[in-house]
Amino acid sequence: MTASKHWSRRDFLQCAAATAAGACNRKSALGFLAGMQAAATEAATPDYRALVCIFLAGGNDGFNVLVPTDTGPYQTYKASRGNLAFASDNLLSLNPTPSGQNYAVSSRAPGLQNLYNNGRLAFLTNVGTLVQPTSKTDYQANVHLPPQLFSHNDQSDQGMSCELDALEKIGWGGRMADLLTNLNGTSRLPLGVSIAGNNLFQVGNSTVPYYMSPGGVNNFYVTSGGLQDPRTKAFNKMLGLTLTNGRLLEREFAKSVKSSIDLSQTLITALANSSSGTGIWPGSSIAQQLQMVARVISVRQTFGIKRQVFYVVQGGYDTHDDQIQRHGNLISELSQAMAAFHGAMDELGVGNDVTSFTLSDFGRTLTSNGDGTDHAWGNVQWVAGGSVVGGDVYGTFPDQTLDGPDDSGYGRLIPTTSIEQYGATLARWFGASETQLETIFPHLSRFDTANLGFMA
Amino acid sequence: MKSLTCHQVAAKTLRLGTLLGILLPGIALADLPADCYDPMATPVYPSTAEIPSVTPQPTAVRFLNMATFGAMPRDVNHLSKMTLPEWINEQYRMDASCHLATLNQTQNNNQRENRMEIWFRHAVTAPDQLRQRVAFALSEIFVVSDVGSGIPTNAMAVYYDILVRNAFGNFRDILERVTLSPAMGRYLSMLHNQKANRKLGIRADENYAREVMQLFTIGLVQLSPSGVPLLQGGNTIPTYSQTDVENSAKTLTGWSFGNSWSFFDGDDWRIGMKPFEGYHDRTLKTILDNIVIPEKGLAAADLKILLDTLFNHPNVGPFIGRRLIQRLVTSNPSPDYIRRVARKFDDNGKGVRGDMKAVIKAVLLDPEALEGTQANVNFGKLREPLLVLTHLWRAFDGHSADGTIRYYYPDSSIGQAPLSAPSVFNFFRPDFAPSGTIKNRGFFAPEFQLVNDANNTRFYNELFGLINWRYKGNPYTNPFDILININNLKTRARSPTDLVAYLNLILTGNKLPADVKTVLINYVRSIAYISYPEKGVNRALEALYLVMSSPHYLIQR
Repeated sequence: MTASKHWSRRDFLQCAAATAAGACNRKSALGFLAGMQAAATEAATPDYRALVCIFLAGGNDGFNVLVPTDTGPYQTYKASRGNLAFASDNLLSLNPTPSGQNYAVSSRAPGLQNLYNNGRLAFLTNVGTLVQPTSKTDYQANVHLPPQLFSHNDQSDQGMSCELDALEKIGWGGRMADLLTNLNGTSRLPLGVSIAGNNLFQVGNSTVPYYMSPGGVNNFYVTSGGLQDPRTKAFNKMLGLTLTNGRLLEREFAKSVKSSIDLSQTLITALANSSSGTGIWPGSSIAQQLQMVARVISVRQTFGIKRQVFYVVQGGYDTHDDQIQRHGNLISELSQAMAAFHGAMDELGVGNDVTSFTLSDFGRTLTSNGDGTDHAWGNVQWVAGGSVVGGDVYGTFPDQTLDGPDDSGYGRLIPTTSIEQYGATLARWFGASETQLETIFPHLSRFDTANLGFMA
Repeated sequence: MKSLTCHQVAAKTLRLGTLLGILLPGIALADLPADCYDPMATPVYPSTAEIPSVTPQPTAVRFLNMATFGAMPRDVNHLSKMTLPEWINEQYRMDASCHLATLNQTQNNNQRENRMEIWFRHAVTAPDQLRQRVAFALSEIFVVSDVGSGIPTNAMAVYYDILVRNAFGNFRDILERVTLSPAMGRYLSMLHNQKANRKLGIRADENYAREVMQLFTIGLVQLSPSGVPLLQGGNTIPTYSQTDVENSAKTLTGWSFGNSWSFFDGDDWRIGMKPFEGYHDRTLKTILDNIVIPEKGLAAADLKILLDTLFNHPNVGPFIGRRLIQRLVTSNPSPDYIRRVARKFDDNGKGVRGDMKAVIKAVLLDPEALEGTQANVNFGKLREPLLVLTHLWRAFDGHSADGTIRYYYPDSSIGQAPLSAPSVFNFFRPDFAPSGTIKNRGFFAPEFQLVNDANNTRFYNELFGLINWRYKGNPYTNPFDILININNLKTRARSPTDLVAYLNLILTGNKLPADVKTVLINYVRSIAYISYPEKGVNRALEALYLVMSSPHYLIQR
């Protein structure tokens, strides 16, 4: 797709207003028309919203995705990152931010560059798990730090749940589903759909996501003979007895199997009419998962569903070794996949209704351990879609000086923005009320703002 | 089962243990790894005494479902003529069925399909079942995976054999051999980990330092002997700090391939890593509990202090004990059960710490393991997908025409393959609980991390195909298909009650509730006994599938 087709509603409105003054020179006429089309299609489904969580498993080195290119910050970046620093001519430049700062993205991410320069992607930094606003002095004095910093499972659980201390955590995507699932009326499809298996993010108190594979949904052979088939009857009777008389584990297992069988036929029928657009999808796992998300979104009206939260995973980010190569390949796959996905969303007429966003275990050390990086804390995340106020870097870009004010040691940056502020900005757009935001994000009130402003 | 070769000599030929002992530098090993059986020989199963039964059959089935890759008629009969401790002792005396030795008999020992085939063949047919089963459990604790790690297939087999051959040794030896194995070295990047170098702007890699503490020995928080987190002012007490991780990382610098001539050289995955002192951090390092590793120490001496410190930490008994119980017996052991196992870890009764034989006995012979729900109302665990397939093929002698078990792609067909977890956190975490009642009541069900709509469909359908289309006598199969032998079922199929009773015994140790049995019997009765291609086939297959797909089978108790 040409860049000019990627128009957000915001661009359209700005441009429409500007045209009156004869100042709309950022977009071509073709882009203007495409923007009008997108806006028109959007009006037909004004009440649909979807969030797509792209989890970068292992801990993405976000500070080698977004790189500052103004002289001072770049020199600091280069000094701190040692043999992992990108040369300044090996980066893809981004349009200057509205406040005039210059950044670039990894040379492997032209897709992200395009989305950003077209105003459909925003970066957020320096974001991480926080109990409350935390200074370096607080860190050194061990004041209210998230438990088990730098541990994969603990930090990803905390990022997905925002319940830092609770032993029995549920995810913030799940709490969002608990509170907003009523918007979906009687839809048989749960609000959450995971294309990447079980995850804490989508688990709520009363809601569980539907799990499908990137290939779609298959029929259950055992009950394929129909409800009157003797085998189906025997199998269902057996499950029924387990549900009433079984022990805890048996009952919970039976419950899961029963719900899988009940939903599979509905999904198969619906997906038969699905579309993921006419664009070419890369063959990577993350692209295949996002393609499945696109297909499910394309049949949302079959379910009468108004709100959806999707979950996809790209693994392999724990780059202790061989980082330049491995991380570059991952970012390249992700960049292509996100470009294809948002292209498809525009084509399906839901460009402004679908927002994708990244999450990861944690950031990585700025310093190198030889040819890789270790577990750290603060990170860069990004959001994409037509409703994103894109082309900007939100939050505070950290001082990357080693042992500087933002460094807890070896370039493990202390976050200045909480994942809860990040999540709340998304959840507000998704439809959560002020009160609901406080429930979904338990520490939110401790931070200066619940709205980081990157969503229109 | 048909032999793969004409060699019938069950000779112990491989003395790799001795060789490894020499090649692992500078460290006194308490127990040498078990010898390997000759991979060319037909497996020899111990002969069964012709005496009256000592152990009731349902007890034997239940026990074998925990201690092996699934109960089967031959083993049930064998065990029924002895006591459970006698059976364990007999297993302890056996040599090891080694994976690399068998893999080396294939045309290509670096082909993943061959590694999978050999894993299944060992799981299903190896006489040293307890050793194989414990090794599999260890492979889900000391996780190394070929997913995304670039570790060659034959190196995965070398690694697996460390777990197989040391399963009955000392935990300290397992810890050391795992630490120095190049596969683990690559997986958690201790291989080529070097000391800080200001000129290059680099510092020690923290990956292995962190995970060896968090996942392989002591865990994140201080534990009581019964595995309950200790509290101080209402908070848990961390076992280590970030500084401990950084200092342990320095301690673990300087190791490369065992055949290297220079630090970044080498490619031998068969032998342990060796130290290069020029790349080892020789500064003074303080690790957990204020243990000081003095300056100018050699890499091996520093490593010894670190591993000794971890090994002697009071957390290891309850931490590893709970994990072994969860892998072999039950998801929610009582604190007392954990304490009894931890006590054996701490001291086998003869003053030895970390004796795996004592620990395994404590896990499998504990009253809670033997009495199940009688002792602990929440006893039980979900069977892992791999363990369902191995049970099917053990109980019904499943194999391809040439005696192999060519199940090449378990990851795509059942979502789990040996040594192929998505990360060092295994396929499932010890503290995973699915949302709903299990989580709300504070229980765990690690294997449920693999349970979801997509996996349920895939698993149920795969099992359906493996049973209904892959049986001896089906005219529509090919020689590579793994076929089960359903003779034991066909002969009982005239009586639906007998058929269901046999399946209930051999698969669950008589754990199906009466109401479920009635449903099964009535359904089987509704199927004609006369069927194509033979009498009883339809009844046999339908009954087998429904039992194996019932929650009462899949939850093992």
